Order: sequence, then C-alpha cells, then structure tokens
Amino acid sequence: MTAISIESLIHTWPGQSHATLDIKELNINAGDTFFIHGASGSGKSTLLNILAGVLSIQSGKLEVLGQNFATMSHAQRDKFRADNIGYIFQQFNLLPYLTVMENVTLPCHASKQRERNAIEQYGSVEEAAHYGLTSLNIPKALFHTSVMRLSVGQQQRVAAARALIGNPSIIIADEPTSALDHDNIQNFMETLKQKCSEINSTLVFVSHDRTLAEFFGQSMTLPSRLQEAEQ
Amino acid sequence: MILFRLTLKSLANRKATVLMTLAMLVMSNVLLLTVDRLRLDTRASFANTVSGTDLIIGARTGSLNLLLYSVFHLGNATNNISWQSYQELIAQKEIDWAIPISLGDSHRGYRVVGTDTTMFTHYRYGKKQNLAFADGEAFDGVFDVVLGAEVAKSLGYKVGDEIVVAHGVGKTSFTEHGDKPFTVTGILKATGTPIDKSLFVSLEAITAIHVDWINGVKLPGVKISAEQALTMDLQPDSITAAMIGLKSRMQIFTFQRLVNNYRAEPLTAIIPGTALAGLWQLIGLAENALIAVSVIVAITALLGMTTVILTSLNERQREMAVLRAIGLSSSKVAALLVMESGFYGVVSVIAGYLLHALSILALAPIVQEQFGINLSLSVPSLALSLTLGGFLLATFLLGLIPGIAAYKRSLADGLIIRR
Repeated sequence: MTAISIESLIHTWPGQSHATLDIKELNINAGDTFFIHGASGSGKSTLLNILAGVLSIQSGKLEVLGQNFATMSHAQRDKFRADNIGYIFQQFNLLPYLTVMENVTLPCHASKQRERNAIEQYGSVEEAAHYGLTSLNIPKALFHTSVMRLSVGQQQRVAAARALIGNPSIIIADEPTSALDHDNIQNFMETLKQKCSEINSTLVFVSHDRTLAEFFGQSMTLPSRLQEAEQ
Repeated sequence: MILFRLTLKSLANRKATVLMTLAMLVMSNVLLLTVDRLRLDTRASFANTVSGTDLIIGARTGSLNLLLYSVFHLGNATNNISWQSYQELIAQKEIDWAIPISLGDSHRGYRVVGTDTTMFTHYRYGKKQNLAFADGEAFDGVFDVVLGAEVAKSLGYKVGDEIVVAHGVGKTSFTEHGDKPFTVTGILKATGTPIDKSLFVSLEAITAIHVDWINGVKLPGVKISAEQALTMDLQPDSITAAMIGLKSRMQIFTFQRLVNNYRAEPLTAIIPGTALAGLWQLIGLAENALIAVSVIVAITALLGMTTVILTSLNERQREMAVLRAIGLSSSKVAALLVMESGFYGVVSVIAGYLLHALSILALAPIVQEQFGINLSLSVPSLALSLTLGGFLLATFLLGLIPGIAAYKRSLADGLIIRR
C-alpha cells in the first residue's frame, strides 16, 4: 500500500516568480523509511506543511493513506493530521508550561483515534506514555517534571515519544537531529527507526545533512532554487 | 476542555505578566463598582433623611437652599420664619404634625438644633422609622440636651454629662455660651442621617442662651445667669424652618400654595422629594463625569489587555506551531487566545467585586463619619450590571483581535517556525 503519493505537485509562494516546490512524482510505501534531502531554500518546509495538511495544495495531486488532500477542507485535514500524523520539529518541540507526561499525552487529547489506540494497546494513555518514554530512555524521575529541565537530547526523545503515541500511520520528522551531537544522532536515529517499524509507521525524514541518508531505505533530493537558477 | 486546560497552564507559566494585566483590569472594575455605589448610596442617604416629611417650610429662598440648610445642615439660613406665622400655619386643619427647627449654634463642630419633642415622636426617616433612644429620654427642662448617636460616640458623652454650646457653627468657636451649660438627658440610636451629627435642645433653650445677646453679639456688661433666664419669657421670636406632616398627602400641593402665597411674610414650602430631584439634576453632571472617567479607565485597561496578548503572540509562536502539529485547527488556536482574553475578563470582574466589597467594608465607617453617607454592600445596579456585562463581552470580543492574528499566522506559517 502507498502511504504517500505525489504527482506534479507545484507550490509557488505569493510574490515569487519561481515555484518553491516542484515534484513530478513521489511514492512512499507504507512502513518505509524515507529520507528527503534538501538544502535551505529547497522548499522542504513547504513540502512538510503540505504533507501535514497545513498548507493547501495549489496544483498537482497528493494522496496520503489513500486520502486526496486536494478535496479535503482545512478542518478535515486538521483532523486527519491529529489522527494519523506524528510530527517532530527541529527543536523546541515541547510546550514549556506542561510536564513531560502532559506533553507526551497531548495528541491523545486532540485525537480520539489515537487515544483509543493507546488505551487498546496499553490500558491507558498514561501507560502508553510511560512505555514510550521508557523505551526512549527517559528516566522515570523526569516524567512529571517541567520540560525546561531536560537536555536537548532528552527533549527530542520526548518529542519522539509524543509523535509516536497512539500509533499514527505516518511520522514526519523535520531535522530532528540538527541540535544533537554525533553520538546522540546515532542513538536517536536508530531508536526512531526501530519505534516506527514497531508500530508499522511510515517515517518521512527531512534534513539538509546528506550523511543521514545512510539510515534510510529510500531517499530523494529536493533541488535547491539556487541550483535551478544556475541550470 | 483541552483548550481550557492549556489556557490556564499557559497563563500560569506567565505569572508576572498575567498578574499585572489582571491588576490593571481589576482596578478598573473596582473603580466602576465603587463610583456607582457611592452615587447610589449618596442618593439613598439624602432620600432616607426626608422620607417621612411632606413639606419643609422656611423663609423665602430657593427650594434647594432651604432643603440643604434645614435638613442636611449644609450652608446657613438667610432668614427666619416669625413665631407668629409659624403658629398660624400649624393651626391649619390640614396639619398632622410640625417640627420646628432653630439653627445657629454648635457644639465642637456639631450643629445644635432647637426643636420640640415632636422631633422624637413624629420625625421619620429611612423606611418611615421614628427616632429611638439608645439611652435616656427626650429633653424636658430648658437646659437639657439630647445627642445624636455619632456626637455621643465621637465625643464620649453619656447621659448626665454637662456640655457647653458655642455660638456659630464653626469647628472652633471663640464665643461660647459658657454661662449656661446643658445636661445630657438622652442619646439617640444611629440613623445614618444628619440626626446622628446633631444635638437637640428645646426652642426655649435657644432663646435662653441668647437672652443677653443681640444680633449675634453678646451685650457688653449685661450678664443674665441661667437661673435668671429661666424666670424670663422664653417663647422664641422666630425659627429657622419647620418640617411638616399633613393629614393626607393629597393636600400637599394645596398647602404648599397656601404657604407660598402667605400674606404676612414671604415664605417657601418645598416638597423634599421634588427639591432632591433638583439636587440630583445638579449633581448629575458631576456623577456623569465620574462615570465617564471610570468607563474610560475600563476601556484603557481593556486596550492594555489586548496589547499584552498581542505582544505575547510573538514569543508564543512555537507554542502555536506545536499545537497545530498535533492537529489543532487554526480556529482552535484562535479560540485559545479568545479564552485567555475571556479569562482575564471573568477573573477581573469577580476579583474586582471582591476587592470592591472589601474596600466598602473597610471604608464604610470612615465615610459614614466624615460625610454621613451609609455605604452599603449590595448587588450592582442594573445599569452597572449591564456595564460589567459589556466589559465581560468586550474581553471576549477583543480576544478576537489576537485570535484572528494567530489564526491568520497559523494558516500562513503553519508548522514553520520563523526566527
């Protein structure tokens, strides 16, 4: 089954002469790990916003889990994202005024489906969060503390636990390792891949760091606008 | 539900800003509530004082002037009613009761009122209550005095004490009727009217302390002792004013016309309620100015609150992006800000009322003593309730400004965090 399918997807921001994003064709199978390489200005943020359903499609076709995003309203895409997509930012993923546990369980408050998944598998949302945090090596002592007390590496792992809770079908990661040091990157990448395969999620990973491609089964490169201009 | 919890937690994370913003809003609410309370209670205090009186009679003067000096002891009479006219008027068949009032003397800043015992049997205030004695009884002899509640309390007098009355009405008087001291025979219960700040003596007493005076000056070389004075004819020549109760309220206008057209001397009769209405018209200007100022303060506070929330949007951009990422719609992100704004409104109205209540409780005794106004604690008036309701509504509506800003931003930026 295809998780994400793109055909001639073009996005041009208002006031710009060139398309920021122009993808002829892209198919990502369910359960795959997919690496998208893009330098800054290559439109990767735009792509991620479109994949997450935040940005509306201007032209072309995008199907996520068989749903045609072009025909869905903002509200439908928001609900779809809540139910099916776990998202990890580059940095500062966590709400500073919530504890670690509250941050991790947040998606289950936004999506009934993910709450149900968590309860079915672990008995309760809290148990699911406990399991997720423990398997991502977050010490139990930190569960109920403020997220401000975590190291950057710990913050990213808590963010991963939040993205994974309630088994969403797709995990989108936007340079989640850029703030980590080398050892932490290795560790984070392995754990993330392993967790995704555990719940059969498709992992879409975006980075400007080409060396990370080695962790993934498939990859593509977004041409940067600079190169395009040169061509 | 999750939005409400997030709003509270997010606010708790910004305590200092939130508390300062709340303080600003709370103060504006306290101002609104307190100005309105003062306005209503001032009116009530005035109305209570004359609630049982049908007409007030005095020398020809403005109706407001007569009301103020006769009942509220504000300002001074320009002229008196002759005793003869007074007697003729109260002999009319319409008259139920009449209370003469003779002013001009004082005791340590409190007015001394010359009257007769109808004062204690027929004067009615508030909800048509009669005066009652806390201690002792009405004056009987010429040199007896009855004290208002506050006079007795603040000067520490009790029944049996001797006091000296001074000429004139200032706080300090250099001409005292020291040769003719009075004995306290009774102390009245508090009424919340100018009665509390008055001393009552008989009309004869007023004559007696002035037998050796002419035109407000003590006659040099003439000395008449209290004992001698008692043997003289003490019937007054004139009184300052009189409060009148008629047998039927239907006769008020007829009797008023009779007094106003009285041949023997120029007199004025006023209906207290009507004269008060004139007073409110005058005071209304000042009241409206006060209300306008407090409304402007409230508006300023609301604008300040909106600015604070708008300013916070920049530093909360990550928060918004994270909430969008977990699937909250743009309108829910906007709702978060409207709720925050509404939270300020609800909390500040409640806290404002509580602080207002506390300050009324704390200030009531002082205001009562200084101005004779009974501050009461009660629900806000209809107009004020509507104003507070409008304030509350405004906080929610103004929340739409940052709400819509966040909505637009989260639609455009989505998950992009701009640095």
